[in-house]
Parts: sequence; structure tokens; C-alpha cells
Amino acid sequence: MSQFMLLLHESPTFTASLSAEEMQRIIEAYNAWAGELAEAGKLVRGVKLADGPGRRVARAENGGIVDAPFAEAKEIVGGYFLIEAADEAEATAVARRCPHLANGWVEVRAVDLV
Amino acid sequence: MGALVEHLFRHESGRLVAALVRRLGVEHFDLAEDAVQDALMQALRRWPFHGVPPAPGAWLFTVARHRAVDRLRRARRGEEAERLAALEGAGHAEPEAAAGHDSVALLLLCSHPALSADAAIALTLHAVGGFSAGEIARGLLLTEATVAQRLVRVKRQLRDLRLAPDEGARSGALAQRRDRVLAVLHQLFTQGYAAATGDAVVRMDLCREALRLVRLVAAHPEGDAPDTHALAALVALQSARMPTRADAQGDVVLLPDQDRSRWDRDLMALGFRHLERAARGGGLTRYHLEAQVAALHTAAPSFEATDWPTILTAYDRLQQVAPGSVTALNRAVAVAMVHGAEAALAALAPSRADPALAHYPWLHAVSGWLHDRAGDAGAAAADYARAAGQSGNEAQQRLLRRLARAMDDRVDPA
Repeated sequence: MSQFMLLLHESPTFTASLSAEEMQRIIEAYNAWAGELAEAGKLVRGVKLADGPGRRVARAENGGIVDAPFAEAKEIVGGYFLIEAADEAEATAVARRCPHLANGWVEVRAVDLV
Repeated sequence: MGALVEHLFRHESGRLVAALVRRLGVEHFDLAEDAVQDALMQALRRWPFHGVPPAPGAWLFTVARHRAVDRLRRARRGEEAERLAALEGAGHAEPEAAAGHDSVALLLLCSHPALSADAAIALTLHAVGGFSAGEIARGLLLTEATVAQRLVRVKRQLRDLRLAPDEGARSGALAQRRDRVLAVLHQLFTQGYAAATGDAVVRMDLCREALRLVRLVAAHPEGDAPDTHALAALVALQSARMPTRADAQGDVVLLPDQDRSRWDRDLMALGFRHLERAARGGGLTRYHLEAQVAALHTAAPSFEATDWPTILTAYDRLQQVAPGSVTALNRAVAVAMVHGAEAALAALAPSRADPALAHYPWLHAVSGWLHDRAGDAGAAAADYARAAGQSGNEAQQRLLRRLARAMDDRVDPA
């Protein structure tokens, strides 16, 4: 068994005017998707990253370290799921069923366990 | 991972807006709605990763209250913010009864006599029911822009009324204005039910919401009255027939052709229970009579074997209690079943001169049906064609044209 990280990318402006009913449908879709993984013992954890403040970038610049806000990103990672899968094909198949695809995209990364 | 109760978000949204408006006053209607929307968005951002919390309603309530406090502080309404914040320690979710009372208080605000019925309906569905402008539009066959405008305007109107903060929540308020609340809910249901086609799911939700709200009123000590139960019975019994009013292709199916075995037994039982309670304590309102008609249809084994004489009597009394153009049309159908088509055509004469029905396609449709029963296929074909020309609804047009063609074929089988 290998571990994979599914990174959920989305547009930072995704706050579309969803109705209450539509929001519930989305949560139910995640419930079903994550529930199935959990039941199969393949969900390690889901992590939600903080919105807004708390998102900064440290980078070397002009000989010093700049601590800058994460400005005007075209897309952000809203959170990730750590899952177990036999191989990349299985992890990709899981990602393909992820409800997040309705409003963003999912990056599948193998975790280097060694 | 916990599952969500059906329509939890919609219902919680209405319930939380009601709770906040009750504490903050109508002045902060928008703020309350925004705070609740924030809470739902928070849930949408977090629950996919962490799962649904054990008490989702309480979670939403706490977050919505925090958000309302934040927004009040930012708006420099410190006093209100602290008052609301002080409630935070008082416990989590409200008991069920208090929540019901919050919703009834909001219902009373939405049904304020200064607001038009259409405005009241839109606001009730949105604020108390948690429906979005788009959903209301699809259910009532309006454009989303129309509904959105209506909502903005009615909220401004409500603010301008400068109502007392406890308006709607004080004791005696529902007893005083129950008539108006029931009238709004009756219209809400009728409008949701009337559009025989369109978004079937949303319309069913609208009618279910009407039933939920009427029952909420019935559960309130000041709302537990025969007329409330009569309206609940009417809504439940009519809703029971909804699944059969259109076929799989979305075509209209008229009462004589509906598959009665598919009528919703649970709603029928609920309707009859409310009807029984409506009969206690005397008083005969239009809701009683309309519910009686609905009950007789629901209980009948077939269209022909329906208790038409009793239905006709109910329509006669209904015309005295609440004269109406559409009631007159429905009555004509009952006249035909009791006294024959000729008598019904005579009874229809005043309706033909009724300006309220001048553009109402069902006047000609009923006339066509009566002419058909009287054996005059030519006149029936002309009526159906005219009705089709007046209808703005595609599915209705398909039905009426099909009926017109069937009559034409009978006139000239070649």
C-alpha cells in the first residue's frame, strides 16, 4: 500500500451564490465519497487549510528572506486528503470520483514513504 | 461520518435567520441573513474535510451567532453585539419549541399586512424557508431577477415600517394576525401547486414547505385552531396528488386520467388527520370547504365514482364564503357530473363574462370539456384550440392541442 496526497485546487473567488440546498448536496457528495474511502480503510485524513489570513509565502529575495502575503494567487489549495492506494492508477481513480472536480481540480501526488 | 437530514441546510437557514431576527429586530434582517449565509459557507468549506459534526444544527447556530456578533461589532453596533454575545454562554441549540416560535415570529413579519401577497410569499419562502431566489423563481415560474428584486424591495419596505423589535414575537401576535398568515400560506401553496409543469422537484419542495409552515402554525398555541388545521388538510391532500399530475414526459395528466394508486398515502393520512381536527370547535372557512373537496377527490375510487353531489354543495357554500372566478369554473365541472353538461354550460355563462378569466386558458378548456360531454365535438375543438392559444405554458399547450385534434377527428374522421 502506498500513500497519496490529493491536493484540492480551486479558484480563490469560489464563493458562488449557492443555495442552501445546493450546499447540502455538495457536502453529501463529499460524505459519500469520503465515507466509502473510510469504510475501505483507505482514508488517512482530510485536512482543511485556513482561508484568508494565515496564508503567507517565505522566499529568498535580494539576499534576504521575504515574508509575503500570498497575493493574488490564481488558484489556491483549499485542503487535502491523504489516502492509501495500491498504486497511482487507483489513487487517480479515487481522485476522479472526488466531488471537488465540480468546482476545481485535484492534484495527485505520491507520498515518498522512505 | 454523520449523514445530513433531508433539507437540513434549508430548514436550518430559515430557523437561524428567524432566531437572529427575533433577537436583533427587523432592522438587522440583512445582517442576520448574511451571518447565516456565512455559517453555511463555513460548513461547506469545512465539513467535506472533517466530516459532519455530531450536532450539525447546533454547530451552524453557534457559527451564525459568532458571525452576527462580528458583523455587529464591525458596524459599530457594540450594544447589540454584546447582547447577542452574552447569549453565547446560554447553551447550544434551542429547544425545538422555541425554534418553532422563532419561525412563527418571522412568518408574522413576512405576512405583515402592509406587504403585498406576492412580496410576502417570496420573503416567506426565502427567509423562513431557506429557498434561494433561483429556486423560488423555478417553483413559481418567474424569472430569477424578478424574485431577487422583489426580495430587495420587500426587505426595504419592512425596514421602513420601523416595527417594534418584538413585533411578531409578543404574545397575542399570532392570534391577532392568523388570518393573514394563513392567507399568505394558502396563496404560497396555490401558486406552487398551480404550475402543473416546470421544475417538478422544486414545486414539490415548495408545496412541502407550505405544509411544514402551516403545521408550524398549528403547533403554536395561538395557531392551533380549526382554520389552521383545515388549511393543513387542504395542502396535504392536494400535495398527495402531485406525483400524478404530469407524466414521465412532463405532459399534463388531468384528474380523470390520473393513476390514483400512485397518490401519496402518507400525505393522504396526514390530510385526513388534520381534517378531523379542523372539524372540532365549529366554524366553517374557505379552507374547510376546499379541504372537503380535496378529501372527496382523494377518497374516491375514480373520477366518475366521486361523490359529486357533496362536492357541488361544498362549491355552492364556497361561493358564498369566498366567491372566486376559479371556484366558479370548478363548480361548473361538479354541475356537469351531477346535472349534466347542458346545465353546466348554462352555469358557465357568468364565467364567460368574468374579466378575471378573460385570459385564463382553463375557462375555454372547461367549456371544451363540457361541449364534448354534451356531444358537440365541433364546439369542443374550437374551445380547446382557443385555450391552447391563451396558454403560455408549453406542456399545457401540448395537452390542449391534443384534445383539440381529438375533437377535430371526431367531427371529421377522414
